[in-house]
Amino acid sequence: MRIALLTEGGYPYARGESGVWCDRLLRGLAGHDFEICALSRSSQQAKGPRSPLPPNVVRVRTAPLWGPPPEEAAGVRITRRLSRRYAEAFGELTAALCTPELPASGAVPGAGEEATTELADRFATGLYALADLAVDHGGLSGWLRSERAVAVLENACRAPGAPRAVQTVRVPDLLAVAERLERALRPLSLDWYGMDGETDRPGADPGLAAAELCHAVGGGPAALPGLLTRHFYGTPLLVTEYGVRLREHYLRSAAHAVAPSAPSAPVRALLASFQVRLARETYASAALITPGNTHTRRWQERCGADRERLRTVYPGMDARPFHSVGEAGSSPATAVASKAVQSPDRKAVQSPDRKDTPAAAERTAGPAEPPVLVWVGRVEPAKDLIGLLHAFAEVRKAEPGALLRIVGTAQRGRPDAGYLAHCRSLAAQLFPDEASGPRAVGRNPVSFDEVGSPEAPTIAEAYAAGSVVVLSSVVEGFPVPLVEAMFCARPTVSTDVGAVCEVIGGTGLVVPPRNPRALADACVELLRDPERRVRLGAAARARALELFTVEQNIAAFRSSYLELISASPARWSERAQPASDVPFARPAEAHLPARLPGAAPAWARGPIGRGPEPGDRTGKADTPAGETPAAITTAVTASTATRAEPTRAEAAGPAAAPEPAEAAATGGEQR
Amino acid sequence: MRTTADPVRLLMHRHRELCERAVDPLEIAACLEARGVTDRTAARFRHRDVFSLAEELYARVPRAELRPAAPATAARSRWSALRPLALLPGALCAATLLLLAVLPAGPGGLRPAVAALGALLTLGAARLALGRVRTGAAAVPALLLTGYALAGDQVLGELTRQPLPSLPVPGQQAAATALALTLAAAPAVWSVRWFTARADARLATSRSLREFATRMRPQLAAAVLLFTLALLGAMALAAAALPTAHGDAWTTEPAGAARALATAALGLLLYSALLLLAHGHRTAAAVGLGAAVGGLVLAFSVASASWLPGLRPLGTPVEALVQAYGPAVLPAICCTAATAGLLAHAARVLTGPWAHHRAADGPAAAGARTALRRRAVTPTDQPAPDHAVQAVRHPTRREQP
Repeated sequence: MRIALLTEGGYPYARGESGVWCDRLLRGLAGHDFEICALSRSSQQAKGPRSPLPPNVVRVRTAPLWGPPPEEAAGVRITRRLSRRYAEAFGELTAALCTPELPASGAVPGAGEEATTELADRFATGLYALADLAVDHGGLSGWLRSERAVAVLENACRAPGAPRAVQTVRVPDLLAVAERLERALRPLSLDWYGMDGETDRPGADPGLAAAELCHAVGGGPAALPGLLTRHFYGTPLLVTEYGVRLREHYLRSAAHAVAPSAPSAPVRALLASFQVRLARETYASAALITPGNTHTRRWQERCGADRERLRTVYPGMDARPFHSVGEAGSSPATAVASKAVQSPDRKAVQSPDRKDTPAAAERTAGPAEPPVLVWVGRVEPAKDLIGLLHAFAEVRKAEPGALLRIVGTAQRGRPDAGYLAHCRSLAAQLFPDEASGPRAVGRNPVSFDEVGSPEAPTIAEAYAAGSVVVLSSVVEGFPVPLVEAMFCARPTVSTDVGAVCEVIGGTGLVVPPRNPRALADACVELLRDPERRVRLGAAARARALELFTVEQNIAAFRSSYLELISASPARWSERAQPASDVPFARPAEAHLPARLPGAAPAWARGPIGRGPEPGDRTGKADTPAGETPAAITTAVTASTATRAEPTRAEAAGPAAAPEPAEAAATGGEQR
Repeated sequence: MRTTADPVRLLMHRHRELCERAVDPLEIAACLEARGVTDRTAARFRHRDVFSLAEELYARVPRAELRPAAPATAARSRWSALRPLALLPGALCAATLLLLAVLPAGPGGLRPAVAALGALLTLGAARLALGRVRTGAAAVPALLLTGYALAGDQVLGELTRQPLPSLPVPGQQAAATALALTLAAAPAVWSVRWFTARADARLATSRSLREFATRMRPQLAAAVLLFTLALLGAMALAAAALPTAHGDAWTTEPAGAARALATAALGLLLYSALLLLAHGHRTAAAVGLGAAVGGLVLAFSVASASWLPGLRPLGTPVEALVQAYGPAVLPAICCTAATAGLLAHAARVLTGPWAHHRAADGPAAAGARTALRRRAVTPTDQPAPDHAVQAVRHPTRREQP
């Protein structure tokens, strides 16, 4: 199948979000053809490097959402009649923006729902009317920067019933809003939709019309091309969100609100209103929405996503680096032995009778190898390392020999050096250096390392050195270190923030955030009970291998693609057919990609779709070199690939969980 | 948790600033979550989730009163506001003319060399005086028009078989025009800057588009009027400094009047083009200047064509005009018409808000509009980098190789 992957500020730009995930998805679904439509957020990003593309990417389109409007947009002559039609459509859109949204949990749910639906209709009407006009006539960007557009916006803001924040709008605010709306609506004037009327010509770029499925990575602007393709052709839209785009907008807006040159309240109100309406329309139109965790799911439900079309797909992580550590740790005897001895050579010569009594091994090895708590992550205030140090002080009262290793990972952007220094000095104050004897050199029980240093050459070894992995964050999204610790079969103690509870799911201890004493108690409990550590670690690894692997993630999307395609009507010949409820009423093979040889065989026509297309006005199109059209084989592999290759989670699940009852038994260990 | 009758009050107090600034309950929810409030925390406040807690906070905390608009332009020294560089073209031109006057009129190439060097330096100084205004294609017709004002009359006179008014020194007339135009450069730049600053102030304080347009029209008229007065002054000064150039022909004869009109119209035309250029309307300025050049080219080609056998009647109107009012009447007509067109366009676009809008980011877009404005760019003007935002950490952001 041909799938359009819509991104904004991410893949394929190297300096963007979700690049690794997109790359794995594309490579994992090698049987499908992908067309990448990327919107860039800044000039640094657009000019920066790009990640290498897998061979199944047939085309990359890019367009900027920053800077001045494209030059040719200003050159389009806008007639008086067109200007009036633009004004009508934009009026609908802005009227929807300026109508206050009733709270969903209002006293009269029925009335609220009705008003919200009507509002969404006005927004959608305006949006699609603008899109139709922009595709037919062009010049939308130029018009949005005209005096008339500002006048329409002003009328909407001054209309009775508009919120007070919007009523107080001033002229500079109107201009700022018009400018930002022009940027946000730029996907409307792109030539991506194959509406040029030349698509029948062999070799012409069919645009997004040829895509059978639009997969938007993130809501907001990235989903806008998908919404339009759905509007023009009925192409199903799949929205994947790992971080809610709307929430990021609010956070950025709130962060800017404090700055002296901040956009004023009316600007922020109008832009936030636009983002909310856009998110609502996206969630309402998407055929399937895949949030990355429950937190994202709650936001989406809040913004009107239908529960039936929501399907949580956990982000996949590469389990291979943790394989050896995890396998060593998940078998009970060797795990305890390795923790007690921490040396593969000596583990091999362990006598069998000692293996049978892990608790005894722990006791005998206890004084020699003290228990180690490990914390891994980016050193930043949200991780509450201060609280961790205080908790560790409590742990030392109960277990005087315990050590704490804090391993920092590489950071994007500037590392918070001040916070790290603060933590170091606090550790030095709380814990004096200790030596084993009067002649030995002492060292601090708390050590600070970086991944890659001799103490922790790889991240897996950092986890392997610990008896218990601790996560002490006060704010967390999806806890990556927690999943890594689960892959390593390490028992964990974590705070109840973000998606921690749904990730750990009863295979570790959970304490409230900002509660060092509870954290310490949980750690001591685990440190004193090696058997329980092993049990929890094995259960955690089994759970992680079932839920959080890359294979699981790719398999989920593969089946989602097929499900959506199976229900969507055939477009090219029988466009009028309604969507069918019977799965595979039209099999995925029914429509082969447009590059199937029509009049002349493929070898006689020369390469198609390479290099920039002549009709390409706004976006840039390029095809990776060496990509050969192979329509039939692509379609066939698309269908077979789904059946072959059982997912790794299924294969590994039973083997890795020695005692399935353990997971259930430990389920009640949440506090 | 200390239990009080109203547990939310404490939360209101703690997040008061956030709640006052929020435009939406969802904004409060997002920020509360970023500060560590979860659904379980919300349950302690007797709410189902963070969203309903945020709604209560949004409803209970009054919105902060709007801040008064910050002064749009930072205080700057008077000296830099005056932009003394604008005086440079006039000074250079005057110096060149002075040097030419004291140099002996020898047969060598000294005088032409001095004149050429002076002209080049003056042009460079004029470009400097414009500052960051991007002229684009408008520079070419502007240079052509200026060149015509200096040398075109002689050529047209030859073409139309008209004897030129006898002058003591052939170049004096061109010298007077050049001096008047270069002296007027300074008031032109000053008046455009004044207009821009006034427009900024009006933009920041206007409540509606209609009000803004109403307040901008007198400003535009005042700017044009001020410059016209300054231009007339510069012309009078030039005439006083080079008295032999015009003598009694300056005001009495129709040819002299036409010549003065041509100079004034050219000055106003260049000024209105500069006004548009400084606000980013490069195309309009280029079209206006190009129209004047086109008119002159048309007149020239008609006059030249009349030399061909049988086409003599073609040149009759031009000849008649030149005979009646002197050769300067043609540029006077062309420049006046073009000026009227440009000023009409300016009255439409410069009273709208877009011409005075400075882009939120992107120096390329802002460069044209803030051209004549000295603007202190503070770090807070730049869009905040992503790491400033406490966003949900993306799951696949940190990966092992």
